[in-house]
Amino acid sequence: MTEIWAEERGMPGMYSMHPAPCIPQETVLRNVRLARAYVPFQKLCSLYPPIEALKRGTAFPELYSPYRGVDKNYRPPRD
Amino acid sequence: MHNRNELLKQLTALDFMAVDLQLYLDTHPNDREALCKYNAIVTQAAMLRSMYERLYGPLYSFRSCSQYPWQWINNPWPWNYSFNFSLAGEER
Repeated sequence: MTEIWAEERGMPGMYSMHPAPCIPQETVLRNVRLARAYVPFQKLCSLYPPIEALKRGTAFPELYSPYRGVDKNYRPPRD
Repeated sequence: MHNRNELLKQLTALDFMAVDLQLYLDTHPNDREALCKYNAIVTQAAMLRSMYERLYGPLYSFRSCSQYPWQWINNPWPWNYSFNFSLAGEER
């Protein structure tokens, strides 16, 4: 079985602080319009190995972005 | 060499890769490298699927060949809990 995927590089999910090399940093928008959304066009970079992709819900490290919000059901213990 | 759960897990993971690369290819139809990886994954998945079905029976009620007698009526079916492998404790 040939290894066609590379291990994760960079820090997906942290790209706002450390721009991952796999995410195009398209900072210049020409003729920008109001009320339009602009999304960087994905470029193929590395892929997770299949089992890792299944666990993380994506094959693309740069799209791995787990929700780490507060647990709404959490109640601090009272003493 | 393979046990059933391990084989099913590998196959599920490859099928998941194929679906995710399919979504990418829908918007990047001219990405030769991605297409190449997609084709390699689909080929590997097909190999594992036929190996699995030969050893453990049909994964589909149609599309799969069956030994005699008709194997599909055997429990467990793919949607039964006991049929499936567990990633418990392995989620990220």
